[in-house]
Amino acid sequence: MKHRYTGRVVTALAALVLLAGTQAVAPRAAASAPALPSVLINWSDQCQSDRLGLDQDTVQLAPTLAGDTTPQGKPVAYAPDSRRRYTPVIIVHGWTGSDTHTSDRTGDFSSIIDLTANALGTVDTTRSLIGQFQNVPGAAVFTFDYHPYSARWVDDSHLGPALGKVIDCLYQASGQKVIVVAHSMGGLVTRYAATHPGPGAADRSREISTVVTFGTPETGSVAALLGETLLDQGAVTNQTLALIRTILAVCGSYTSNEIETGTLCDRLYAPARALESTAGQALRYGSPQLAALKPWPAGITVDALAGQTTFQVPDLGWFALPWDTVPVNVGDIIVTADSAQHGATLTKTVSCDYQLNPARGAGDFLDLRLRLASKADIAQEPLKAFTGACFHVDLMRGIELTNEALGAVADDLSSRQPVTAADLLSAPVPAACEHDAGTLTGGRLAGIPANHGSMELAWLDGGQRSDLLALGDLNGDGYGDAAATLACNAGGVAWPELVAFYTPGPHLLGYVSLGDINAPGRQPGEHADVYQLRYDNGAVVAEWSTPEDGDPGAMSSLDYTATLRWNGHGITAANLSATTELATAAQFVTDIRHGDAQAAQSLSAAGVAAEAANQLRSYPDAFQATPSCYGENSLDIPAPAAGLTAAGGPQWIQNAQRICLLPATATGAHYVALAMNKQGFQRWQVTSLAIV
Amino acid sequence: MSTDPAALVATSARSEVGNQARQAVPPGTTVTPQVDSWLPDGVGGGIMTVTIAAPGTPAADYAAVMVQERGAWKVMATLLLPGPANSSTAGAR
Repeated sequence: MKHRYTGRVVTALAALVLLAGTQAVAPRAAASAPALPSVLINWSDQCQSDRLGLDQDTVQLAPTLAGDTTPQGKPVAYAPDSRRRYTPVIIVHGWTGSDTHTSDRTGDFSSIIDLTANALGTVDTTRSLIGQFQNVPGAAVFTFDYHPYSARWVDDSHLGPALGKVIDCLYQASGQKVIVVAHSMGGLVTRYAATHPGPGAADRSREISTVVTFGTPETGSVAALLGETLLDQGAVTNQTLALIRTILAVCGSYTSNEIETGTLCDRLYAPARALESTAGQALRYGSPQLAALKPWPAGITVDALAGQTTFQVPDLGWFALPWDTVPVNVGDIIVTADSAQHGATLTKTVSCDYQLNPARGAGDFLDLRLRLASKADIAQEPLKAFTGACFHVDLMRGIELTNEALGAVADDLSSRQPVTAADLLSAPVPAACEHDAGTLTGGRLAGIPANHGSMELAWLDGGQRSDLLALGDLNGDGYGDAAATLACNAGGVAWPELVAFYTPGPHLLGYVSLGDINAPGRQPGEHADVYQLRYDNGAVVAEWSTPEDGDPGAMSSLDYTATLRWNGHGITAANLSATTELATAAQFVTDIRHGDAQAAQSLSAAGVAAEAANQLRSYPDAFQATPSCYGENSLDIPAPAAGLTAAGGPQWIQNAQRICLLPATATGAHYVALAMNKQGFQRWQVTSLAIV
Repeated sequence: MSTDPAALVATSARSEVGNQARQAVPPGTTVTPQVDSWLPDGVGGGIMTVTIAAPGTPAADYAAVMVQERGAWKVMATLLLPGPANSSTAGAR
């Protein structure tokens, strides 16, 4: 039975689909692999090992290998992201390893991905893990290989400090935060580099976005404990240590030509034998070297991947004293899962459960046979032929963890692509207007019963998208975000619109209801409608309209402007200004009083300024007063003026959106009334004048 | 082993064996190490087949996981090997 894995498959598939983008190709190429983009060759030249004072070939742009192919059978090739940019992805091997990517595939990240924790499944990947990364648009894969010094501790100049130089250089060359993918002690090399000063900073958190670790002994290694026989090892059980010693002994009994290449016995020995090295001693639980390493800096996403192997071992004990036959947990045999995932932001574990049976080998030597503990129909395999997706040295060959690593890299790169209007069609939305939070489909929240309202991108319901959407970096991370207007209602009239901030993904950063932003003394309007959103230097200038207090007609006569800004926790509003018809009415009255006909004409319909100038002579005291304004159907309009808003009545001023009254104390009138009509956002006109 | 089995319990196994080493190797037990079966683990220890014949019980073979502590060999754990013991019960006590 063929088994296909779907972990983080959406991202991974999206990355593969995106591969269809075009490439910038330089005329330098391997014989059968695609050419390398010229920009990457330039970075490679800028960050050459000798320029950084490192041994030759310590850092290399990973070539694409002819055998690494896409699911469509085409050679894997570098391609830029949607911004036409690349981001460095730095590969760092571990204790006793290497990672230079060559056609012999001896590098720890170069093997074709061919293992799975599901013994009933098979893997049909046609790429190495490096090939997987090369297949992601925007990824530029570099290897950092310190093999000649890999038994040294991470503070050696060839390890942590050297990786720091490489990170500095590639960050500066690309202008992009780098991604690091590390195996085993390579994760500690990376932690050393991340926690030590970079150019002008106390650490390198501004140069690194994501670190993916495979089996990194964050708190120590089981293998390193094998030399500590006198201690009661609190971190690891006696059963675990005894079992690993047994495996090592049985593996050691085979001749090298008996062992199949790539099997557990072939690959386990080197790290176990290195326990007496400087690094091996430092990797013991509680060592002063481990204690001296600082925690991962805040701001770096650490995705820690671990293997978790459990063996059912019948008849384990101390001679005639049997021990409980609980599964013996050995992590990935070199590192426990707890150690590998200590201090991580995200974790994933691949689990393998085996039954380990002793058998008598040739000459009565102990042999070991492995099979799935729960699948009796799986034939036992001899240890010398056994490969496993959960074993330390094979973690980068297993489909489960490599899918997770691919997803982490693709997610990181995706987060750098600016949010687009198309992205927002499937954006998450908050709970509002009595609807639960959800995700838009085609720009609208699905699943709302008929007559229960809606939640949608405001521009889908009329209005210009360019007015209701602002694009730009809103949280200061250098990537393109979006501020979008969301319109909703619960089945009746529209509710105040929301302004939601989105980061790439799109992910909802935060939102604010415009009904919650009001000038002092003003009540929230029944509705609030965005007139325009405009990006301005890390913030959004929002303009919206809402009804004034006491207006039963709910005419949007109050126009607000505010600067909306993300403060790290929420959206704040500053520079709030409110404009109504009152300002225009008051200015018109002042212009009339001052005899400035031209200015008054600019604020009024034809002939109104002249008529007002005439009335000034009859009611001079009214033109000294401050106007009081009312809505079309306002119930609190003074009685003498009520006829002005009584539809069909003799005094009715048709089409007046607001009425502003100037009290007249002279004989013959109570008020000079100005009929006001809105001409646009914050623009009003005096359309007629009446005496009541 | 047959006279003072507790002295052969590895430090890391003490919490599991406790004071039951004598029950694991009862008085009168014949202990026969199969020297030729020694397999070093490459990290300072190794495994060896040991035949145990306790009074009144059939002999059994164990793979004993051995480590050195201050120059002395200790037993961390054993695995019971399948089938009847391959050696005679005669041997060192």
